[in-house]
Amino acid sequence: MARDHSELERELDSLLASYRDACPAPEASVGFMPRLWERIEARQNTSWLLKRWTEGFVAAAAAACLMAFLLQVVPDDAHAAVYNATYLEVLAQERSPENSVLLDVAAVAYPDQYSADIGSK
Amino acid sequence: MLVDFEVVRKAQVGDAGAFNLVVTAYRRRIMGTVARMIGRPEDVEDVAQEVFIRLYYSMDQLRSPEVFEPWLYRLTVNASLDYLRKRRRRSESRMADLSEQQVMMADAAAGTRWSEEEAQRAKTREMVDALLSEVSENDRVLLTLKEVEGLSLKELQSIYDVNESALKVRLFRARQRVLKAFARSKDEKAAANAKVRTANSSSGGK
Repeated sequence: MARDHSELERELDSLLASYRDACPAPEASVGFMPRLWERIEARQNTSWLLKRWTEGFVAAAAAACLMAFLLQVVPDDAHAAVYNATYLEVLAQERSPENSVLLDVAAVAYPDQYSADIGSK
Repeated sequence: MLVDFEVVRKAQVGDAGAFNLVVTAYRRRIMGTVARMIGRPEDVEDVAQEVFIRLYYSMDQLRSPEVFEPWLYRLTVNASLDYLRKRRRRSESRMADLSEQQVMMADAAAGTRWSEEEAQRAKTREMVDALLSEVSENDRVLLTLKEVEGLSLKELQSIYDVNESALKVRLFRARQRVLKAFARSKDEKAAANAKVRTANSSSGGK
C-alpha cells in the first residue's frame, strides 16, 4: 500500500513535469503591444470619466447641503404675517386674565346672552 | 532580473519607453506562467495583458525595484485567479470549453493534421487540467507555481506573504487532493479498459 502510494506520487510528479513541456510559453502576437496600450488608454479614459462624475456629484451634493442650511438659517418672511404665533400662544392669549375680566363684565351687563356661559363655568 | 533596476525606476515615473522594455523582457515568462496556470492557450495573451495593465497602474506602489519580480508574480497570480473564477462562473458552452479531444477532432475535421507528439501533449494538458480542477483556484495556482513552475518555498513566501509552515500545510493538502483524484482517475481508466477487454473477448468468442 505504501509502495503504491509512493509510486503514485512519482507518477504524479512525472505527469506534472511533462505538463510544463506540454504547455510551452505561447508566442505573443504582433498586436500584443499596440493592444496593450489601447487597453491601458481605455482604462485611463474610463477612470478619468468616473473621476469627473464623482467630482460633479460631490459638488452637487455640497451645493444642496449649503442650500438646505441657508433655508434653515434665513427666516421665511413670506409666511410671517399669517403664522406669527403658535396655536398654544393664541390659546393663551384668548384665556388671558384681561379677557376673563371683560367676559365677567359682559356677563353682568348682558345676563341673557352670557348666563349659559357663566352657568357652564 | 531580466531588466536593470534603472529601467524599472524609469517605468515607475511614467517613462513609456522603459515600460515597453519591461513588458518585452517579461512577456514570454509571464505568458508561459499564465499558460500553465490557466490551461487555456487561447486566453493566455488576454490574461498576460491584464497582468501588464495592472503593473502599469500599480507601478508607483512598488517601494523598491529589488522586489519587482515577486511583485510581478503576485500580479500574475491574481490576474490568473480572477480569470479562473470568471471561467468557473461562465456556464455557456464555447469552443474554448470543449475538451482537448473535441478540439482535436474539430481541427482534424478542418483538415489540420496532429502529430503524435502534439496529441500526447494535448492528452497531458487535458489530464492535468482535469486533476487541477479537483482543487480550488487558489490551490491550483499554488500547486502550479510549486510543482510545475518549480518555484522554491522562499520565492512562494515572498509572493504570498505568508510564513513557510502555513505554505507547507496548504501545499501538502492541495497535493493530497490532487493525488486522490489521480488515483481515482487511474482506477476509472483501469475499469474502463477491463470493460473493453471483456467486451472484445465476448464478441471474439461469438
